[in-house]
Amino acid sequence: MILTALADGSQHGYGIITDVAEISGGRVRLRPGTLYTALDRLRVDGLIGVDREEIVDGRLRRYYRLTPAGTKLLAAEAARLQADAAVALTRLKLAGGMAT
Amino acid sequence: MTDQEHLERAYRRLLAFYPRAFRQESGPEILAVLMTCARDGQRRPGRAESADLIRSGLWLRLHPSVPRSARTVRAAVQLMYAGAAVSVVKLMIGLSAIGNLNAYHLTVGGHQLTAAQLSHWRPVIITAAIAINLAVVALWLWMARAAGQGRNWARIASTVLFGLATLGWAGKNHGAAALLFQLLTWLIGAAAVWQLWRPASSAFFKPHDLAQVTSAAIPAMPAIRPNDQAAAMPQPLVDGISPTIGWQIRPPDKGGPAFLTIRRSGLGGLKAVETFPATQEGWANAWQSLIEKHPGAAAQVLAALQARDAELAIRIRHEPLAGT
Repeated sequence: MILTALADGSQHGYGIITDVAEISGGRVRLRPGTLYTALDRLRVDGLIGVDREEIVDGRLRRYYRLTPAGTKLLAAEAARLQADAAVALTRLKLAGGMAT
Repeated sequence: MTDQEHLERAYRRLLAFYPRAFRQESGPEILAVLMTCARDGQRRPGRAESADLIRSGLWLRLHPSVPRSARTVRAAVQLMYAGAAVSVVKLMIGLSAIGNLNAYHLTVGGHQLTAAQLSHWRPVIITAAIAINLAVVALWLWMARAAGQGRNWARIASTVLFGLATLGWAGKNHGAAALLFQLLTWLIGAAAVWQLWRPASSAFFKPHDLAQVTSAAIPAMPAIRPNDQAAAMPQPLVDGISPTIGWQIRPPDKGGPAFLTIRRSGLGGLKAVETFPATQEGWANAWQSLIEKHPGAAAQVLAALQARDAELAIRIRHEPLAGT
C-alpha cells in the first residue's frame, strides 16, 4: 500500500497517509506510528529512500520515493495479484456458465 | 501552555517508547505528522493513536534494523534473542526449584554446606543466582542489539563471551536438567557466532562510510548572533536533532562566545557536550567532533542547513525587503 502511494512520485508522511486512505477508498487509515515503523523497514530493506527534506512551518518534512528495487518489487507484487484475480474471475465465469 | 504545546508534549513523551536512534532520526518528522493529524483544540493523544505509537516503538526496539538482504546477520540476531529467552526460562525454572535447594547440592571450596550454613547463606545464594541469570539475559540482548546495528565490536565480544562460556562450562559437573540447558544455550551461542562470522555477514560489519561525510565540505562558519531571550543558553544551529551543533554566548569571565556540540537531554533541555573557541578553527573542530560522534547527525545537520538555505533564498527572492 505504501509502495503504491509512492509509485507516481515522492511523498511525505502525511501525504502517504491521505493517499493510502484514498487508494483504499477510506478503508485503510494508517496511523503515524505504524506508518513510520513500516517506512523504517522499507528503508532498511532498500525499497524506498529519502528524496528530499524540507522545513515547513518550522517542522521537518521528509519526502520518500521508491528505489529501483522498490519499483521492481511493487511491479512483481502487482503482477502476481493481477494473475490471481484473473484466475479467480475466469473460474467464477466458468462456474457461472455451468450454473445457467 | 496552549492546547497545541500540551498535545506536542504528550506526543514527545510517547515517542520515548521508540529506540533512541530512531527517535533522533525520525522523531521531529513523526511529530510533524501527528500534529498535522490532530484536530483543532485537541489536548491529548487519542487512545488508539497512543497504543499504536507504543506498540510500534516497542516493536522497533525488539527488531533491530537489519536489512532483509543481510540474512545471516538477521539469523544471528534472532538466535541471540532465542538465547536470551532460554536464559529467562532457565531463571524461572530455577526460581520454582528454590524450595529444593538443600545442602546436598552445594559445596563451597570443596566443603559441603551444613543445613545451618545453608539457611544462613540462602538469601545470598538466591540473590546471586538471580543476579547472574539476569546479567546473562542482559548480555544476550545487548549483543543482539549491537550486532544488529552492525557494530563490529559486538561480533568480537560475542565470540569472546561464547569462548569464556565454553571454558567455564568444561570444568563443571551438572545435574541432567542443568546440562540440558547448558547444552541448548551452547548450541544457540555456537550457531549465532557461526552466523556472525560467515562471509555473508562481513559486509554488514564493515565500518560505516565515515569518509563520505568527513570529506563533505564543512558548512560555512555561522555568524554568532546575540539572542536577547536566551542569551546564555546553547543555541543550536539546527534544532530538533540531537546531537547537533551550535554556539553559546557565555559571560566574558567564563570564556566568552563559543561553538558547541549540543545534545538534547532526557528532559528536553539543550546541553553543551563540548566547547570550542569561537574561531574558524574552533568551528572546524566542533564539526569534526560532531562527525566523529554521530556521522548521521552531521549529515542531517548538513541536509537541514541546505534546506534552510534554499528556503531562505526563495524567501529573499520573493520578499526583498523582509528583515530590513
